Amino acid sequence: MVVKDLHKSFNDFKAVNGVTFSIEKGEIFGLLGPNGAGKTTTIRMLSTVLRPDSGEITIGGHSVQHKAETVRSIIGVCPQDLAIYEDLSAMDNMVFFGRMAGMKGKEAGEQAMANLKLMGLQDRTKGKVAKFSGGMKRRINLAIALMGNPQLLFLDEPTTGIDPQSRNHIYDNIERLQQEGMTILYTTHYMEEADRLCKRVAIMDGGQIISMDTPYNMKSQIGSPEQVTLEDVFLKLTGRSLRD
Amino acid sequence: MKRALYITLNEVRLYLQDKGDLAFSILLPIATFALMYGAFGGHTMFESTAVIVNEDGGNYSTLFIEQLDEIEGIDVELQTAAEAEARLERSDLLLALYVPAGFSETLASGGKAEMVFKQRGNGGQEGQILASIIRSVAEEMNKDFQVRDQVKSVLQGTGIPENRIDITVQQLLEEERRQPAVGVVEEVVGGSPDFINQFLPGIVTMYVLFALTIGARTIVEERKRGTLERLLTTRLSASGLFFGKFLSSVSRGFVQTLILLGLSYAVFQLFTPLSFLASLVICLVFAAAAAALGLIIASIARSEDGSVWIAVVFTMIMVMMGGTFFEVSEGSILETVGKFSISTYANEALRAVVAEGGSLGNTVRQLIVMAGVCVVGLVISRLTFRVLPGGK
Amino acid sequence: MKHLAHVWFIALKDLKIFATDRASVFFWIVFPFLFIILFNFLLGGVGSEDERLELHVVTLETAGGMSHQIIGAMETMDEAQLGPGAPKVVWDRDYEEARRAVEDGELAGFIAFPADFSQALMTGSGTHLEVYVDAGNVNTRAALEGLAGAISSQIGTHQVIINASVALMVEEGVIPADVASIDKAVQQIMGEIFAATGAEAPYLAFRTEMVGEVEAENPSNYVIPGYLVMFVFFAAAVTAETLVRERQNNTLERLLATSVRRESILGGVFTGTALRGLIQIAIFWVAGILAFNIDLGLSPLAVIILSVLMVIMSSAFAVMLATLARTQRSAGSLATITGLLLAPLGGCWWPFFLYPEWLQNIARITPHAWATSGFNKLMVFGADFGAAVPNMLALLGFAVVFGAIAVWRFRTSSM
Repeated sequence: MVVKDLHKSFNDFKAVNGVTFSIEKGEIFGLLGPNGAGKTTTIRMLSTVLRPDSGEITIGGHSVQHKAETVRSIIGVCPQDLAIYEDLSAMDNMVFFGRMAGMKGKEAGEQAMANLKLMGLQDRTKGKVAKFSGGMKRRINLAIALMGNPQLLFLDEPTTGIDPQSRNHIYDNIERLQQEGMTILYTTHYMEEADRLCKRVAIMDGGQIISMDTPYNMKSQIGSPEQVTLEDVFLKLTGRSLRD
Repeated sequence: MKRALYITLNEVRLYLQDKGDLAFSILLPIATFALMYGAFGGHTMFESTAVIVNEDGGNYSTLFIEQLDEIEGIDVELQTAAEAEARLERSDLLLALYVPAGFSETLASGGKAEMVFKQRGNGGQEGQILASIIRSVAEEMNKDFQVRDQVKSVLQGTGIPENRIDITVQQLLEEERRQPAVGVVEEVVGGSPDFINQFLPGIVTMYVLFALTIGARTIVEERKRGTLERLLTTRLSASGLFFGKFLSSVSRGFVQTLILLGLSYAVFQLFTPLSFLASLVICLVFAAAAAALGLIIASIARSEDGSVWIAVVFTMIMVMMGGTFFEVSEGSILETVGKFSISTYANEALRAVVAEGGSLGNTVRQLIVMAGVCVVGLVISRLTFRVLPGGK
Repeated sequence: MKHLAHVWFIALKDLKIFATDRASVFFWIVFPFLFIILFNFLLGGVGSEDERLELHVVTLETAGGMSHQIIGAMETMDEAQLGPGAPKVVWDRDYEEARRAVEDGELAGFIAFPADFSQALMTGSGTHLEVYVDAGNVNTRAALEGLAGAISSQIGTHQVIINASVALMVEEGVIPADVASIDKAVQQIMGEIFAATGAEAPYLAFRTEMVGEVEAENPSNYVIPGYLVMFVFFAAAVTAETLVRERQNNTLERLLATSVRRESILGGVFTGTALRGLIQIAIFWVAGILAFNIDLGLSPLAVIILSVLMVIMSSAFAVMLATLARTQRSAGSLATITGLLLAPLGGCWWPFFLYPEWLQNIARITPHAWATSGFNKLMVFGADFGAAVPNMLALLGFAVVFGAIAVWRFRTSSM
């Protein structure tokens, strides 16, 4: 994925102000930043939901602006807020989105089962999702993003509000996906996640990328990589005061 | 208690700020009343369609049909014999008039012609009146022939020329039509005020009931969203929360009736100050009963859609059984069935005070029943009320 | 093809979600029938009223006056002797009592002859009959006016005969112009008139042929269509919340991030709503035919086509509502308001044909009015397919307009 000079404003507010970066195939790329930095707006533009004011985005060689439909067929999105049908079962949710991704019924069913197994939910296929715990709903939210065999996955804070066990489970799955060749753009507030999972990280603030490198190099810039954390780097670059 | 009152005040404030809610609870009843008034209030003229099979097509049949069509409220529908027969056969039509072939020719040659009513039974109420109107039109045409004929008969042998007779008869007939020897004067009793007394209470109570039962949806929404549960993490008890919701419903219903009855007072001048106050008391008790029923719906409904459906259906049943749109005859089965509807008691009480000039003392039975419904409703809803979805 | 598949799967998904809410399903199907049963009960026998009209007449004149002779001739002494459709005329003896009865609602109305009736006729000063009637009783009022008019006309006829004959006889010198001669001539002519009355047939006569008895109209024939229209429309309008809910739950955005087109989402909501509506009407009609004995008229095909078009129109309205509403609550409120306002206006609660013509014309801004009047034409008034075509076209027109607004809003909104 190549992003060049992306801009987006809402009325007079510049949400994204000249963002440029690229992600290699098979890479897990982290996008960090405080609330209101522009991460979600950026992801929405990359996933074709929002139209940028200016800039270029290509995914897999296809322009997002001109070949949106092709792009959609190769991406998967796990939004920050839960986007599931709580009145349906886990299996029904998965199959439905699989169908939307162009899969045939049997194929969708099989992949749904496989993805639910990946998320440790193979025993919860039938009941209404409304009855799931928060962590389980997050896992379903993520599992849905995998339907349709996407090549590029957008994960927008996928582990918010889940217990450590579930979170570890998700990390293991993400690493496995990456080993299988999946390219992942990952946003998070949890620095240890970015440290553990991401090959490279970009820090956003005020709609711009203020730093982009490997976690190791970023930590080296402010101290010993063994003692300094990515959180220290994050706070140094974005400031310690609370944001609106 | 104080916290419960805060909930009440907050909800009333939200209600008065919510344009959609206000439109529903104020504008809709006004629109419905206006619609019913338009449909049934000024409806004082007989209207009917006369189905005629004109197998003649001559001057006299055409003239007859034109004269019939000119009568206000009467439409003429020409059909073929086959069409009319088919409709009579299926009972889609109860009365049809057949003008036979040769009708005009017979009359023109001085003969006597006959038209045929084909009907089922007596032709139904409408058919009988239509037949009498048709006969009266025929009578007017017949007059010309009959007068000439009889005058000539009386003056036979007097040597008075026929054309003199014709001219004189014509002149006098025209004079008689202009100024009949015996006119008809109508005095009508009853009318619009009766309509208002009949329907206004029902429409007011119907929309109060709608508002308070559909309002149950908000509680279901809050339960799902978790805000009810959040309220319980404050120092508000479950009973306080429940009572607060109940009071806020009653207050909303009362505000709604205050506005509607106030408008009625200003526009129709139906009330005296005392009867207005009495009506407000009745509406307050009714609102309490309706609020309790709304809480039952909020307690048993599992989804917002479900609560709306239950509310709409329940309200419409109460309204229909309560004689809102139909006058209920004493001793009828509908009167018996209507005893299970709180709308019946509210409408009866309001009519007693507004139309019959009674006081609150005349509505004690109705007030007791509505208060009873309120109490029982509150007990049932309190026992079934859940703060958490699926919880106790 | 892919996009059609998306539309279909979205529709199925919505149906599945709907089916999980058992309370909604129960009320959606079962309770409309409660209304139908209630109204059948209320209106059963309506239309079978075939009792003779009973018309009351009273006179203020003293005994021996002309009005007594007239009323005596009209009064029904033996109802069994009356022909089909002939009214029963009742002679009330007390004027004040009759007035009180009308004011108290015990009597619908009466005709009164004035005290100076004969006198006025003899002197030619003119008089009038009084029709005293309760405004609410339109039928009796019309009947009494008709009878009063007939009496007035008959007397007028006699007056013209007498006046014309006497005038000509005096002018031609057949009788002298003195009062005594004129009086004698008048008496003679009146005698001839009364002798002729009833003995000779009028020039325009009537014969009555009975083709059968009056059968009670099956109220289901207009109750079921009315409530069908109302509940299908209401159910569809309520589903407007579906799209709003998708937006609020973020599933709409998720769908847009797949290869689903915006139009497919709209199409899916429309299709799901329409499928529900079709199931609803199928149940209504089948139950109506089997349990309520409804008669689909001369053209059942027209009834079916009208029903399907009504479902399509309701679904288009629901989708339009979904694109206009911002929150679930406003979608629900709009649905309830439009449903509850349009239903009575459009003739769903009472038969549309009871409205005065001006109100029927106003009501035609509602799709309900076109639907119910179409059903009434076919099922109550025995019309054929062609008569319902304007109604079908109107419903199609509404569907197109609602759909166009929905598509335009969906495209231009920030969804």
